[in-house]
Amino acid sequence: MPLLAYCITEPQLGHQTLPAGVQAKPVVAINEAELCCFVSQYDPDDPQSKVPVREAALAFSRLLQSLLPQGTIIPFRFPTLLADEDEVAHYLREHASEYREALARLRGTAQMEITLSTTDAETQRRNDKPSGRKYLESRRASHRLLEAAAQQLHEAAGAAVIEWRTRDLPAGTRAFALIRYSAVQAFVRQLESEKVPREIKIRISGPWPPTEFVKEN
Amino acid sequence: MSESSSNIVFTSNEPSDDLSVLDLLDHVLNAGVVVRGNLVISLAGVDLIYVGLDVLLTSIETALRHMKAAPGPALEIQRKAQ
Repeated sequence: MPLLAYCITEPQLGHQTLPAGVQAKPVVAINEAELCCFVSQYDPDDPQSKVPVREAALAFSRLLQSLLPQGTIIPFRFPTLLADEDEVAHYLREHASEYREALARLRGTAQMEITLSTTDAETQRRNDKPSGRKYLESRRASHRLLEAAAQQLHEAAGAAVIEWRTRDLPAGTRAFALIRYSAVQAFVRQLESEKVPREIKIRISGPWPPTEFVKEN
Repeated sequence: MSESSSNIVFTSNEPSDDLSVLDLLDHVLNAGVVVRGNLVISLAGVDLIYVGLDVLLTSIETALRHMKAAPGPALEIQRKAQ
């Protein structure tokens, strides 16, 4: 029977009491090569066991969120299925050094995300520009505004930030902050107290598994 | 330029509102390790993911679009035809 893979952790997390996984199946740990992989059985032939994809994805997420406070996890993208326990063990052996390195480097951390975009009124003002050139100039100005705000938040977070990465989105910018898991509340409080231009909307979310930082820059 | 801190909001990862649920779905569908394998995932009869690819052909937008088009779809898994 295929196994749905949730995440890879260091071996000591394999002793947790966990909530049920997707299809209400028990989640178990497979330990191999000094790594632990959490999986649950997925029975494709059982009509009673089929669940809406949204519900399945949320059950998957619940499992990850229950592990996150216990230690660093590297999640699999949902839905990742492997044929059986041997295939999971083989995968862990094959990638052991890269996962062990990443888990050691990211131990005790979490990822916070900051999405920056212009307000609806500001976007409308930009879209109302009479020419393509004026529109592009306005778009560049908005981009600079978002970059400056992201930089301001990075500086405000100060030493709490271990690493900071940004990525442009079609409608704004997203920043990823790698911080200590224990610093999440302080990080949010610090950023929420910052004053930024009224034309910008900022949404902070987290803590998330540090997926953006699994690979070194 | 006027400034304010009221336009900075924090959304926790508790699935308590629509925004948080979208965040959670976005993360599980779009972030994480991709494994090479040989299974096809179908959603409402549509092949959604061939895990043998290094890039997964899914996103929160497409998943939600399928969900709207076919309420209550089931995840189905089938072996890729060899």
